[in-house]
Amino acid sequence: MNLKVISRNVGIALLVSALFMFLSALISLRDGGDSALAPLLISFTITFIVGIFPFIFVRKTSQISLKDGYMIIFLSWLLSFIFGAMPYALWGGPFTVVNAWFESVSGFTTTGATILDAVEDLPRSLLFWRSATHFIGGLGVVVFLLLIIPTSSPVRLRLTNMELSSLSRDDYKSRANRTVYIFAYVYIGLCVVAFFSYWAAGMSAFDAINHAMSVCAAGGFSTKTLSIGAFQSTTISLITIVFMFLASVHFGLIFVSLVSRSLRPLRNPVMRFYVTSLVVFSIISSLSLKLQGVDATWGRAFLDGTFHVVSYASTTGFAIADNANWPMLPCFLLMLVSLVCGCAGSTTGGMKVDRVLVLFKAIHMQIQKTLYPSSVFEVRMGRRVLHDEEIYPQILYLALFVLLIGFSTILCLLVGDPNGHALTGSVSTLANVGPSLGSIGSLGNYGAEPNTLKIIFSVNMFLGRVEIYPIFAVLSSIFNRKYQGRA
Amino acid sequence: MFVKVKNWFREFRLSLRMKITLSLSAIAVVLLMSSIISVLEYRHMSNYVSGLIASNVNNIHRTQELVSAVDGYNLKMLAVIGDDTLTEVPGFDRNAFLDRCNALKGTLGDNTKAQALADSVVYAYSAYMLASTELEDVFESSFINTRDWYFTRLQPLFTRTRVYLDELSASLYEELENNSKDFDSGFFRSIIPSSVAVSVGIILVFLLMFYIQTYYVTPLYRMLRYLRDYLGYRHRYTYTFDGNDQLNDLNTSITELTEENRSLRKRIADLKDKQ
Repeated sequence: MNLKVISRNVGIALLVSALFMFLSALISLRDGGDSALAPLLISFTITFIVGIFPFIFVRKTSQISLKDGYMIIFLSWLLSFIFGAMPYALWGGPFTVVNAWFESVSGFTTTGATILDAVEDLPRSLLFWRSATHFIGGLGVVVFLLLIIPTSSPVRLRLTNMELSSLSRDDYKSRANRTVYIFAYVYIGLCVVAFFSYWAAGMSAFDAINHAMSVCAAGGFSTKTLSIGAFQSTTISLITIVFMFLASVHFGLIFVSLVSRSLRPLRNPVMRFYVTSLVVFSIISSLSLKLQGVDATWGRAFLDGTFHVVSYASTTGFAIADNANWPMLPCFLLMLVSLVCGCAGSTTGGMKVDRVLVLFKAIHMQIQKTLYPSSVFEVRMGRRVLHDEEIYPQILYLALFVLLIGFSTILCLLVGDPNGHALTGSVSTLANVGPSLGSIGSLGNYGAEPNTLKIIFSVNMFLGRVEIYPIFAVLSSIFNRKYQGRA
Repeated sequence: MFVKVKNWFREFRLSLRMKITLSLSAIAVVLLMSSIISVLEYRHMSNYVSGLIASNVNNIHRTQELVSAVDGYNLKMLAVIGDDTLTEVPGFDRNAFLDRCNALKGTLGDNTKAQALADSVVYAYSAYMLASTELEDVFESSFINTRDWYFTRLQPLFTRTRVYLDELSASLYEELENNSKDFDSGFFRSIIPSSVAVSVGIILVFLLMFYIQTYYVTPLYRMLRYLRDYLGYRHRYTYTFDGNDQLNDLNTSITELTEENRSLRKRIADLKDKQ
């Protein structure tokens, strides 16, 4: 393992966090030096020094092994979590060490689960830092790093291939080196448009920028305890639905649609499946909310139903109503969509709708094969034929995802789950949704959960964000001596 | 201008002295940060705890004052009733009592239980005082027994006031005890940030050690070995390593010197052969 290359690249990732800590400190200064100024400045200085330290000795290099690449991804995320927790821990209040770690992991992984009872108690600078962790995590700590590494560098190509899942790379229709730029253009573009939309709809500039960063990262941190519901504006709710949906669509498709000025690229089987699922689930949820007497009017029922289905499917976690008292059916649907989630190549977490569609098609093919054993069948995604070697990893990922939910649930039950959130919390955190049901529902928080559960949930968030394999790859390379030196 | 800056950055290199100075300064800054955090946390913790404990003790003291004021008044009332003659109505500074109650309520903060008890004290006290104003009428009345009046009318109101005052006192003691417990956890919490900063400092020290080993110690050892091989066995000096400071320049110079030396030796050998 080349520690020199790893330390230099991880340092770049930390410098990105340091930059946003500095911006948060500037906001604190603008507010006349609120209580978070010292924590932010101290955190910035320490993070900056650790980030810049390798640059003193280590020169740019073009050599990087597969193992080094995975280690860079793993450590970039892990150290971002640790250093990102510093402003919270230093500020104090409800942030114990575990709570600060949980909030930081939740921010960087764009989960949006919080431990805060009253978000408004935080100073504005710390609220900005919370949203900034979403912004950094939404684009991906490593993608930020890739934006800085020169285009021609082989390091960049290798990291691009590792950070972006194979599913998401397929639809970019461009060279791997360009995909990072396309992802960044669309992401930042969406953020800017979301900011102006929120601002125009009546939010203050500060709330608008925080919610824009949060919605485009599919995060869910809000500047209000009542989330989007606090604004009591149908326009803001509708804008949020639109941006939550866009953040869950493959960014490559959005880019191609914008460049070609046509919606044709969006008319692919995955998008059709995703949109149909959202529409069907929204209608069923809305009907259930109205017919079971939760909402008084049809308009409110459709707004609540659609908003929360899109919010959970896009793994954003914003809310306009408390689902703690909702009937069983819409709650079950929310859990279902939070498992499947949005498209690959977007900022969403979860299994990804692409993989689920591949699974359905593979099941269909298997049934056909059983009925007509001598016929030849193939799995098609639009015009593209998927081979077994492409289908197998996707189905394996789904199986691993479900296994991890089971494992996490059992672990939670073993260490003690006083509030009964082992399963729902595991699903929600592994899929990076954030809110779940009950007291950790749309307007709830994880503050009452025991520390052991918070740690398990934060590991889930990390696994979900990097799509499981990189962490296992690093752990395997560390602990499995048999394969040492092969990469 | 931009090209010039870009070129300057491209050609910029840190000298060996600069690298050592910068890295050690970075570690020094992190350690300084950790000490600043420790001092800040200590000051914050100290102010918080001393403020909290002082407030708790003050509240307990105020409650005790209220208790003794009510007890004192009640004793005076009892004395008058025991004498069976009303020479003077016992005096009580009601405004001072209510001021103390309000001051107490103002410093109870988030303790909702104590707030509620303080309110109860005020209401019970008001009822007790209202009843005690009947004393003159009771003495003037020919059909009310003063002792009966005291034990059936005033005593229960006094007891109620006293019970609320005792409960308030107990609640304040409980708060003091909880705050002492919080202090233990708060102390642990206050050392965490500085421990993180110290840990970062230690990590940087190890990282510096690794870099010095990789970029200076190991190359120096290898240079020495290659030089010995050259001097002892006439092996070519071909050692190169990653780096762009004075040590690398030294290595390049040694390579050039040894090559020059080799060519000179070769020429001398050729000349000897020709002779």
